[in-house]
Amino acid sequence: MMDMIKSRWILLKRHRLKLIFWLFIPLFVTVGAVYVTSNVSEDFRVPVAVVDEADVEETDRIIKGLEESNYIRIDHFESSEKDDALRVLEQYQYDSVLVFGEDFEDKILSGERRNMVETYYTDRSFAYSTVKELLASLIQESLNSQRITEQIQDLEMELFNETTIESETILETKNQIDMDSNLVSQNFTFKGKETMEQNDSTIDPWLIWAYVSLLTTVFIFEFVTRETRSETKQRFLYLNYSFKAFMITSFLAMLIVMYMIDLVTLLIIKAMFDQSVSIVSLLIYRAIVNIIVFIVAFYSRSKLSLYRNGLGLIGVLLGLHIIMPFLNGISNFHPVIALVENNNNFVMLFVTILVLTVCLGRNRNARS
Amino acid sequence: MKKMRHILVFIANDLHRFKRKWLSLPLILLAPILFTALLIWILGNVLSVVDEQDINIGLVNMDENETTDMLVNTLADTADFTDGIEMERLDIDEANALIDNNELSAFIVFPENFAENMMEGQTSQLEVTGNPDRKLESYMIRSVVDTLIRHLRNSQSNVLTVNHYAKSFDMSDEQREDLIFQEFVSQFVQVISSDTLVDEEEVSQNFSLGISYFLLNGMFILLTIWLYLLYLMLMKDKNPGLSERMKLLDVGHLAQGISRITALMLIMILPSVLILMTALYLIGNALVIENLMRIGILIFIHLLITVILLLIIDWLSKSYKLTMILQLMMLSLIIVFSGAIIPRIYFPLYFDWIFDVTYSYQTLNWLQEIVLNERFTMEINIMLFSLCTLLVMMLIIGLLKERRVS
Repeated sequence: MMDMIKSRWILLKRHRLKLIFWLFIPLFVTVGAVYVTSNVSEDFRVPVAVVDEADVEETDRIIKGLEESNYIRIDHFESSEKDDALRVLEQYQYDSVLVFGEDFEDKILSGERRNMVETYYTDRSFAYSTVKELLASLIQESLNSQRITEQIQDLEMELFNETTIESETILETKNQIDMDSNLVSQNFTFKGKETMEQNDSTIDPWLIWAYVSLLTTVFIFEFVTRETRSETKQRFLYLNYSFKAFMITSFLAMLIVMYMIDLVTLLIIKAMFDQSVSIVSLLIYRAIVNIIVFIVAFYSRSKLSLYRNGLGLIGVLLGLHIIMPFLNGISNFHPVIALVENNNNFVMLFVTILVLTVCLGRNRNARS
Repeated sequence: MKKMRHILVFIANDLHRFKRKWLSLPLILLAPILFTALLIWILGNVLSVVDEQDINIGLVNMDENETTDMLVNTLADTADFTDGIEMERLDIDEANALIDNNELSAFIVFPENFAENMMEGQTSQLEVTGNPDRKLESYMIRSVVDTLIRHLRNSQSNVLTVNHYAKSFDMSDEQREDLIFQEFVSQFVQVISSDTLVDEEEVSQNFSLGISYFLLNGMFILLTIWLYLLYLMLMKDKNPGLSERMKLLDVGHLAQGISRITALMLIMILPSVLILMTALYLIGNALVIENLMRIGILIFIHLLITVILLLIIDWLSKSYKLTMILQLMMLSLIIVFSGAIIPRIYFPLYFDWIFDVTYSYQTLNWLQEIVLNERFTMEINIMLFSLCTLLVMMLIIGLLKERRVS
């Protein structure tokens, strides 16, 4: 056994720099990618044009509320420029256009709830309903403030036949109550699964790591293709160990090395991004990936062929991954999804090991 | 001239190699089609306002207070809360059973003492349980419930303020609770009718289905990816013996490059025409010959530039690994900055200049204008500029590589 491992090391020593590079790249790429996307993704905003024909305190407050949301970018237009804004919208340069009419304040005061704001959108306005919701709740706040003062004053008039309480006092009380209480919240779970609260704006580092390490494993395992297709393989006929035994030992040795690096990766990513997967899932993923790539490498005709097949494999997995959530299907059979969702899929592992044994056992008599 | 003959030989060779591999072609080309078609269909369903299958939400009331009862009943009776959503009142066992049978999208549980807590200003939490087999709907439900809660929170302060003043006015408890009840109900009705708050109007100069946009983008991405897949198919194993012999016979690097490009463009003709015809047929806009020619030119130049870029990267890097990685990175940049996945207007402002200099953005943009918006012009300045620059680069690098011999 030790002989085989030593020979493996001698054979790989030539490529040790490249090996180290490909072994550690997944970690660096993951960290880099998450860093970049989390910084840049906040700057992706929905462009919305606002035409304020009323120009009162209430509209200022509402527009400010829209600006303060972290996914909207407001462009202000003068009331005379309304047609310009609409024209730009027609050219799909805005997601939507909001127009506050001159009579906005009157409508608030009268408590009329219909058609407070004109909104324009297109068939490509992806974020329109979200923006509309935010706008509606901001308008609702204004209406509520107006209504409450009227109500309390009416109540006082009814009970005591006088109005002593000032509007401002009422509003202050309301704001105080607003800040102090938080009456309703929601807790969302899927039946039978644990909730995984995830910040939507940052991408899961393990997703990136899974695919990058798949690619690098393909690159690392090119030695399998190279040696399986070489002519020196014949010499194994005269040696104590069979070629197959040699390859399996190499495989296990690589697996252990990669496990160690993966554990380091786990610690670092957990420390930096506070996102971790269970160790078991990680080990299973690494095992499955290594086995699949080994099989592909074993049967590839050349280095280029290996890369093409590897790329094809990654493409297929990526494609399935994107479609999976919509198909409600076999999310258990996809290694990356299993890793990200912490499914400890031993079944998949056993199946792959089985396939490996079958593949290696097939050529027992023809070659060794 | 000898160069021309070499080029023709190589083209013939590439086409021949391609013919040998033609069986794997359907696999390679069809898979992305199926994938893209599926994705487009899904996106179309998700983003369209009219949803065929109603989302069913169950409402479970664990509170014995009659206010909550009334609330839940009003919710269940209101048919038009949001388009396509149906709410019905259930008890907890029914709800669980229906979710297990996949007949319910989600259910909301109003906990015990919900109303009491509301009046006293204590926090209650609505438990929303989603159906794990209908994940996508569940996310939509989550946002609907979020909206509901946001509105409720807005109205809560009104209710509590009324409560506060009612207490200070020394109203009897019964009167006060009555008042709160009424306020609560009217707030609730307001929340439900909040759709009338805005006067909306759809504006568009688009004369086709909403899904056409996705179809066009999908076709664009598909063509680019196909080009790369075909390029990968034609990549050759570097055989040092063969390369030596070619150098000795004075066969140029440039010649091989030109022939590779020509062969690929020739092979791409059939699939491109097929998918273009399909896309245009599905989109349904009739186009005059003039516009069809414009589309042809746009796609042709786009593919040409892309293939020259792939070739240059291939020439510049010594190992396959590096080549593939660089080519993949370049392809993703081309696709992302064409605006096919996320439209240009949503990008951060500091990326905006990139679109002004990217040829793929110009291609897709004018494709959209011509096919979807009935335009009769196109601008190809950026594309032509990129094409010329890349041709020059190709010439220089090709000649330099040949020089290396002597």
